[in-house]
Amino acid sequence: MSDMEVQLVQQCLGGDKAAFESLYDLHARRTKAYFARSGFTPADAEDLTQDTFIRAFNSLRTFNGELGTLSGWLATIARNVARRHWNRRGDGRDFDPQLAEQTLEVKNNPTYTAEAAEEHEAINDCISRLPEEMANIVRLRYVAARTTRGIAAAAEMPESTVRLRLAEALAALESCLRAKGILE
Amino acid sequence: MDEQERKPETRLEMLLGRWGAEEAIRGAEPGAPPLPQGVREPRQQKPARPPRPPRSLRPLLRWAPAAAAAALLVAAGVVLYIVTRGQMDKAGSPDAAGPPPAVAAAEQKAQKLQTELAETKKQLESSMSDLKNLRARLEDTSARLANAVEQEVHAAEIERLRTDHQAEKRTLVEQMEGRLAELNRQAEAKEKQIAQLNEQIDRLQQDLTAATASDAALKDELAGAKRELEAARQGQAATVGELNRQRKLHSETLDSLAEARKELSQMKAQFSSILDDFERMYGAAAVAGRAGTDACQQAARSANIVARCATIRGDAAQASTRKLLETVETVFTRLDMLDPRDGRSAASFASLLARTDLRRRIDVALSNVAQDTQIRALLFEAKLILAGVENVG
Repeated sequence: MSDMEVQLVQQCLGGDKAAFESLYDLHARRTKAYFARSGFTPADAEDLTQDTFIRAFNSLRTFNGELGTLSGWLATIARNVARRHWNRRGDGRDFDPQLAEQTLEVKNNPTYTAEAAEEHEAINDCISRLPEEMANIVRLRYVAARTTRGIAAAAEMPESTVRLRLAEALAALESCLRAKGILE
Repeated sequence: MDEQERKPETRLEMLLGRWGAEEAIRGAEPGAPPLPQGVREPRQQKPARPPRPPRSLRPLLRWAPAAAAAALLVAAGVVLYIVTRGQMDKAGSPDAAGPPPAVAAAEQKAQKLQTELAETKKQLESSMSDLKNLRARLEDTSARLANAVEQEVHAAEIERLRTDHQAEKRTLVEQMEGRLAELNRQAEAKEKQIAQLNEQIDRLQQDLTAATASDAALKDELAGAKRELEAARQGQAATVGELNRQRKLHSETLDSLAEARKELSQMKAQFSSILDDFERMYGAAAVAGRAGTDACQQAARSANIVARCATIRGDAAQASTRKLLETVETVFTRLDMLDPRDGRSAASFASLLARTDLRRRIDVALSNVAQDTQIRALLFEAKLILAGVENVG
């Protein structure tokens, strides 16, 4: 946990509204993205994000920075909140829980290393070169964390077509990233 | 990075997963922070659970001010009653020189009460001070109690969450175990089916291999038979052509043969006639004025047959010809030595001539068209001379 976060937590415990808002700004996006990628509607994801932060700040005195990071602590609360409202989701088979979990594992800032930033930009460029239908399927899969079934429902096409298009898109991306030196 | 992550596909999936998560985080627009005033006054966030003082301090807090006020009122009332009663007693007995004993007693009692009142005031002030201290302690204890209650609530909440989590975890584990067992059963069934299918595939593969081999052999055999049939057809056509040609040739040959036989018979007749004429002419020319064996001897000597035989015998290419020439030389030597007047000698010569079958052998040698010209001429002359001998005989 960074020194800034430690200071913000201390200020929050002292009732500092600005510190609370700063912590919220730091972690709310990732929390909301986690709920959205778990299959909750945008409105539900917003509600659950608020619920998560209310619970977090009510329990902030129990947080021990020596035992773990604030991000990990918030992730645990978010998982519990999501589990308690699991039945509010649509069809859970439409979303990939592994990809949703990945939301809680990455850093907030994608430019945390130069290499990661370069890879991120290369992937954006390669996806922009794909046909629109393939690019949409890739975004549904890896941004919206949907399963093949979920992509088929969202894109209104058969699952077999989704698998075929996704395989073609991955082959094209692999070739493009190999040409850029991202993949060996 | 383990071996699996080095695979391009896994690396690609990992990159895309991280990219997708980052894009999702970028795209998430959270609303305003929840209840910011709650952060400023965190205790007001707690629902309807006001801090309560410890049970032992609660009666003191509730009754101490009232008791102190009541004690002050009672003391003031007693003092007022005693003072008023003393003044009424003085007004009722104006001729009294000094205070009556009751007044004195009352004054003493009033003084005593004042003293008690002063002590009571002191006690009240002391109590008020204690009360103030107690209130301060109470506030501090209340604050600590609130913290303790809050922590207790949090602990209970955490415990409840932990219990829920464990229950859900157990449920999930049971579900997953059940699902795993079901999947294991399905996997076993599938493995059995796969094994059976593999066996069927192996059998079919073997049948297919055998059928393919048989088919290939039959194809080869058929191709060979076709080639043989085609060759036989060509051979048959050639044979038929050859047969037709041979038939035609045979027919032509038969015609030529018949023609040749006809010519041959004509030539033989002509030759026989010519030979008879020649023999007569030759014999007459060779031994003019002589007749019989003597003429033949003279003809042989004139023709010098014996010497010519010895000369040309070495030129004969064939052994049969050389042997024939030897026989000719022997016979003509005997003819040369023959005494024409001796009958037994002539008979012996005739016997030798018959025994050697010389004329027929000479005819056979003359029929050989490849015979040397000198040999042919010698043999022809010998035949003519011997013809004369036989005629004589």
